[in-house]
Amino acid sequence: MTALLALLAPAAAAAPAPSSVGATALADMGHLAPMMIVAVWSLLLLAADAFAGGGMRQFQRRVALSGLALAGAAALMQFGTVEYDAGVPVFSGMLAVDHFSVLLDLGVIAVMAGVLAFAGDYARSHRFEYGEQESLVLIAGFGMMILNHSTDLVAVFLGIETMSIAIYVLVGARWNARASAEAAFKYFIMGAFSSGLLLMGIALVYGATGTTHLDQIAGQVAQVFTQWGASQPYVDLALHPEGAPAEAVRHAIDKSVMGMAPAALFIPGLLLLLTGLLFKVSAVPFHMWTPDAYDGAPTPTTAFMAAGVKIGGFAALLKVFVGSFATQRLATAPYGWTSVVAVLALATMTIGNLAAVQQSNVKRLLAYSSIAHVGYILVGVVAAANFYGHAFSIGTMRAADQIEWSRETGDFSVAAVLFYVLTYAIATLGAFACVSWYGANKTEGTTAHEWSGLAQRHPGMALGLTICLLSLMGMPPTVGFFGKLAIFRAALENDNPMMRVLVVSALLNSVVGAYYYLRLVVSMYFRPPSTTEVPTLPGRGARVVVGLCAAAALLTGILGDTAFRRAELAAAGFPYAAGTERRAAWVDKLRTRWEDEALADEAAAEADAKAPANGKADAKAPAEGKADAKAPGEGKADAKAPGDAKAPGEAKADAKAPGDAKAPGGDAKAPKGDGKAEDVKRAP
Amino acid sequence: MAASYLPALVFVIFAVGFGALMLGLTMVLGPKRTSAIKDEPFECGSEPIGSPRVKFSVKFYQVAILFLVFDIEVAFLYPWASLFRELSCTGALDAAGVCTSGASLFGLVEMLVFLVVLVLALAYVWRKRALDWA
Repeated sequence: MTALLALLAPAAAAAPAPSSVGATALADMGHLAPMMIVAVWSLLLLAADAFAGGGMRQFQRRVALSGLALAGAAALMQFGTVEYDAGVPVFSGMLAVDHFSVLLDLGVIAVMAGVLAFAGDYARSHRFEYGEQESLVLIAGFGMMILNHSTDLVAVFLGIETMSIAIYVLVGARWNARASAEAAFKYFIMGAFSSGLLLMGIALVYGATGTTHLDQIAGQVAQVFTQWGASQPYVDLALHPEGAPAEAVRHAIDKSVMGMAPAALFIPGLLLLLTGLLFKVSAVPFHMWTPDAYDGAPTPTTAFMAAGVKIGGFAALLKVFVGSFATQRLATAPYGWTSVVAVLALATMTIGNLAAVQQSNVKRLLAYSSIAHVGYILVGVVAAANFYGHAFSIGTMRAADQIEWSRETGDFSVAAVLFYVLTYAIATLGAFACVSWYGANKTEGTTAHEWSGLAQRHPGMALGLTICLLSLMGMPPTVGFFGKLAIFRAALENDNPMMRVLVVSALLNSVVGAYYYLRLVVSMYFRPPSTTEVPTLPGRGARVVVGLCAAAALLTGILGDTAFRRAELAAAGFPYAAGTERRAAWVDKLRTRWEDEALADEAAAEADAKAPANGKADAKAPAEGKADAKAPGEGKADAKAPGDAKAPGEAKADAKAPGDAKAPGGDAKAPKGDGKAEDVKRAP
Repeated sequence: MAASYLPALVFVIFAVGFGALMLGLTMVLGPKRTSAIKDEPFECGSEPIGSPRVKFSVKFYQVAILFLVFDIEVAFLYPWASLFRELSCTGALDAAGVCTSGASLFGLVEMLVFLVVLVLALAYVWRKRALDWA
């Protein structure tokens, strides 16, 4: 990274006063290298298109892909390095570079590359080729990356607009199809409206807290509600002034109005922000535009919307809501905003799945399925906010280790959300790439019967699509299963009936989802081929993308542990401001735990190698010891035991070894001692 | 504090009430004599020709958008110009507003980057013939 930084910022290295504004700005740009590369490339491509006049579109495509390769390499060099453990705030705190943002950047860059690999072929084959495509995709991706990095509500808004405006154009780019214009118009009207709501929400939150910086808002939220609480005696007096002197009553009225005003601004602001962000990720009841926009848009754009916009949207949702608004009174059930989101999550997955069942158009089916997935992801968001809400509550009476546990489980929930979003993006990109590939010369094979018997004509593509669909469905060993598992684990860590209802309904919904995914798979493999042969897209881009996505869905599924660790690293210390000691401390803690685990694994492997039978017995012994330790707890503690048993260490152990996930209590944790002590401490 | 807003509240009530009262009075008391000529839309005294709902060329929209971009550019240049002294100084200005710590190119380069992006956009617009009316 330093080499790259030096390359990008020679002046910064040579400047006599390293603290000067200019040097800082250059160093900041070095930290944001992936984003800067994408931005510069998008401008270059725009200029190239203007001056080349359509003669070098193939070349533009290559230039775009090479720029993305460069950006991806820069992001890879950043990810996981100790330099970014604490996170680096850049551009006066508007953005921050940390593992969270870099991981999501990698996702966005991969999605952009995947889309650009076949978007050009698609546009040419369907006779609407245009030179701005690459540039627009890069600009939209740049907006998503702003969202990934944002630490300020203004940056969030800027990111959302940069992303959305480019995508409105991409949706409507197919000028020879009426549906495309209709889709763009619907998306634009609804999108502009929701952006307005979002901005209104930002204004109200700013009015209540006096800042737009997310970390400062997080601090102010407590202040807002403490003030509200402190004004309650005055409110009582103002409402029941019987017998009080007039001067005191007037004072009480003043006090109660001033005390409640920030909260009275903040709550509507929060709801407006929630509306705006949920619109962008197309959650019920703000999903109405989704099927039409996804169906009418050129299919590569649909892939981009389904994969990329979700990454950016959930990055913003996590940053704003889980990062800033997760304070107990505000967030946790039953009175906090998580209750609202929980109901919406339930509605989103149910309506998405039930509507998908009825679709005969593959594109619409995948559109509704993407709505359903938003519902699952929202379950993870709710879980994370609940944990952080308990960890960062005002005037808490809870034990320190309990708070620690809430914090750590909150991080786990954020990791689960990240993991799910990214793996969903892979699978859905593959599925939409396959839909893009099936059709050429202005005919598209999107109706379900055209897909029957695909396996006989194109076995490779049928296999690739099947793997992607199985991953969306959540079938092991594809990565979709581990994503769902992580989300459900995170949700069930909550000792909260609402979360249990959510998980049960998510499981039932997965069954509904299995029906329509498998129906497509069955018709591809077990039905006779349709009589009309659908032409397929020339060029190998789409086929490569389907293959890569299927391979990625399988590989990350098989290597679920290693893959999930990336998400865990990205989520470590999530609620702490970038650049703070505490953030670094949490990342450090995670790294230490991994090292300990690696050492323990090595030791266990050695013991196994020496005496297989003995080694196993030894490893089991501590587990029994732990069960004993829990036994003498009092009646109340016993009733709680299953919930308590989920110590921080174990949650991760489960995610890594899904086979063990359903094993009761202590088994999965046996070789490690660190979580055990806390269990015993928490039991009384 | 809250009581100090009372005049504002009185004013709002008065404004709304007065407007409603006047409209209501004209509705109740005013004579109503309608004729074909009086029902015509008022167009500064000249006779209306045809429907006002004509289709406007989408080109107007395009010009408006292009105008907006350069309008915003100027809106950006103003605060930048007023801060240029601070931005061109490596350290902080002293009390008299004089830079003692040395000059910096930051302010200039920052705006140049912004302008280059806009000029690129202008070049694009020009090459795409968006500036031609025909």
